[in-house]
Amino acid sequence: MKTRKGWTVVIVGIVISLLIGVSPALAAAGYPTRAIDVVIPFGPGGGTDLTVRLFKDHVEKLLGQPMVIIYKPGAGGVIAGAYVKDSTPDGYTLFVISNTSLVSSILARKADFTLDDFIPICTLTLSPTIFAVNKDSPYKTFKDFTEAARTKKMKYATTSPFSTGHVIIEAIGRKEGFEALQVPSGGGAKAATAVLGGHVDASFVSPVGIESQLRILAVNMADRWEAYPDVPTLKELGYPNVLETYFSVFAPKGTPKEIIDKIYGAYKKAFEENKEEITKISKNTHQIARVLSPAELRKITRESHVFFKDMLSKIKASGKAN
Amino acid sequence: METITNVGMGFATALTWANIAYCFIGVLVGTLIGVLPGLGPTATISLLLPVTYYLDPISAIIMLSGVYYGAMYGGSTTAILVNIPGETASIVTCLDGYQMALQGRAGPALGIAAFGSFIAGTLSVVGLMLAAPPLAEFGLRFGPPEFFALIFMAFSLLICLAKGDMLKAVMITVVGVFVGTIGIDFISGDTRFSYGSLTLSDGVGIVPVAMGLFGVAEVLGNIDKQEQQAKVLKTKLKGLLPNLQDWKDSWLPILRGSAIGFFLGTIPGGGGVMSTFTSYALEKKISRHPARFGKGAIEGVAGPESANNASVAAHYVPLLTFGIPTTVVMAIILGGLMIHGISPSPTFIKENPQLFWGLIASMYLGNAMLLVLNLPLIGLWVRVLSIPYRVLFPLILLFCIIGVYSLNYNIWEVVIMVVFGFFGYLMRKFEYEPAPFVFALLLGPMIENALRQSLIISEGSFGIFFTRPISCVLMIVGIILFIIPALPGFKRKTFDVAD
Repeated sequence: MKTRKGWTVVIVGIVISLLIGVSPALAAAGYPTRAIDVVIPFGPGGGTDLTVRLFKDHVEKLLGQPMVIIYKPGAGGVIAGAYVKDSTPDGYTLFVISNTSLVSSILARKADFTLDDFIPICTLTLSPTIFAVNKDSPYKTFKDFTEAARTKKMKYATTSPFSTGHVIIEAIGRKEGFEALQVPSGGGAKAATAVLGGHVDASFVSPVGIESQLRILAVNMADRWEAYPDVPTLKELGYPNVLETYFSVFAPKGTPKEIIDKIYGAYKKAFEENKEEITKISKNTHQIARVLSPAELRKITRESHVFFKDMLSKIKASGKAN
Repeated sequence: METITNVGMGFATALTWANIAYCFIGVLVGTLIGVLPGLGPTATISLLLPVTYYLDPISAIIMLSGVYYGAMYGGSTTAILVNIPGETASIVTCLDGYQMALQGRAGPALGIAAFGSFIAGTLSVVGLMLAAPPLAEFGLRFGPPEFFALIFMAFSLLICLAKGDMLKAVMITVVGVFVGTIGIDFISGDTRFSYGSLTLSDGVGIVPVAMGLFGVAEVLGNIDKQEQQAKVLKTKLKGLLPNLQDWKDSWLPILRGSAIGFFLGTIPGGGGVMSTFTSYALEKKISRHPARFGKGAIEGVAGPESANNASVAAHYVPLLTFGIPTTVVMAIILGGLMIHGISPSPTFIKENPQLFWGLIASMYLGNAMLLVLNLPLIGLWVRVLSIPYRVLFPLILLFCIIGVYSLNYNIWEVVIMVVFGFFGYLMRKFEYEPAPFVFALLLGPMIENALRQSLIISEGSFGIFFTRPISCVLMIVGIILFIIPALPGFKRKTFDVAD
């Protein structure tokens, strides 16, 4: 009896260790077998939340498992990023954040992680950054603004220091020879409200809906924005377009390639099969649905990193922290 | 006349069986969640948001609004019964509401909260109906300098919250402001006092602190004086509803609270906590017996509760007129609207009359439902008090822990709550009050940010606070309020203990 029991234990033990040993491959083959957590760095109702929800139902159907949105707000992405970085890279934890927030967290907010801690999977939507002034403002074009900015110190509202808006205006200011004062307002809606109320000269944030009551002078995108076809892009106005904001999906470093490919495949298919619906709803939330591949996302993220790093050192060198 | 036709149309929309059902579900779920300490409207609404995708926009917004109202009311139930604010806006209700419960008057407290909320809710809906666009315009004129002036004025009122020693209140307020500085400063991007901790770099959350100072500390304090407390709470219940005297004392506070809540609610950041606390301070200041406050004055419950509910309707003013969300809950509701393709703007009300008036009508409905739902439950809630301590206290602690953890799934916030629980216990022993601390924690960062933004805009000049009309008025009022307590004739009134 004893010997037989002993052998049984040994055999079972060997089988289990073999299974554990090959489980990554098995896991990939069987992935997903349980719910997937999607971590976002802001709270419910925001742009990131809405973007994730756009795709969630369709991707869930394709993958066959539910997706649970986990809110980890705080520090503009630092907290969420740290959480994802420390999670098990088995494909059951995903991270949705914009390339600009990610880069900003790493470079400006002294996050504990780097770009290499995350594997890019795909982009979900493109979020324009728009430069707007009050309808009663004397500036009818972007050029009016930049010219006036040379003599008058302009105040523009952004979400936070080293946000997309701030960094781009700093870059443009250096080119055109003006210095403007950034007024961080802690949120897109707050910034747009500040312009609407006439408390600042302009705002440069992602759209939140309030812009329809403002005069939009420029958009930060490669092509013109459908919603406002008469508004020129910064590229057309002569400024290099290096900082488009894409809400994108990442996975922690170490996640097997097969799983990454599976996730990308699911998102791509979800978009292609439901293109009309997704495009329509994303338009309602002021975004442009665009699913780009892991390679393209990697390129976008690295370019953002380079641009930010360059601008950051310039801003810090000139002694201005805000 | 047009308004009446519109209201009629609104009711026609709201009174379909489906919409009545959605309103009811919203109100019911909201109340239940509001009663659980820590869980508030934010969590609930974000959970329900996906459900609303399958509904048409009118039904969706009706349900979400019901949740908001319900949660606001539910939060006061625990505040009154066990001194735990169901959400930050209910903190003020703890001050006098709990004292009333200790005196066996939990029923009247709950009752006046319910009635006050109903009256305030109804009045504010009327206000929303009649004056939405001009009010929104007014709210828009509040920029950083006006905001600074408003909070400056609020700080001067903060002293009024103190029951006893003024010096101790000021001291604990300063500590509160300091704790408020912990975290990332969004104007410069620097992290302060976080000592490398990720949780602290996000700041010390007000919910863990409030749960700790009010809930955990209360439990600890009660365990300390168990025998005495037991006798007090089991005092015979003096009736379940407010009596005539209660109504006499409360009707004006209710009206004033409604007005305060409604006006402050149209300003970003002005609703909820600010309006309850302003109402309380105002009632205390103009009362003929200010010493009663803090010992179970029903005005201290009627005013703030009304202000709280009135501010909910007011939040819709900037939201529907300009698409400006003034609180987190409104931001979520805005998200829900946007998904349905609805983009609020000044012409929104004209372009979507059915939605707007249907919403208004359902708000009336929601308020009425809340009253009908909650009054009979008062008897049930009051029974909670007679649960033996060895069962009640662990349950309270359990709900506090669940409530705090459910916010961000961060165990460190539970640790913060426990730390502040002990801190709160010590505060009680040494007779420092928790309310000024919590408000300082909340208002400190707000006033600092407003100050710095204003100075950026004015390029360093402090004159900006006085060259703009609204902020000038508020600053002067604030300065006067600060000076008055120092004047000789005043001291007697506030320190009047005899009553």
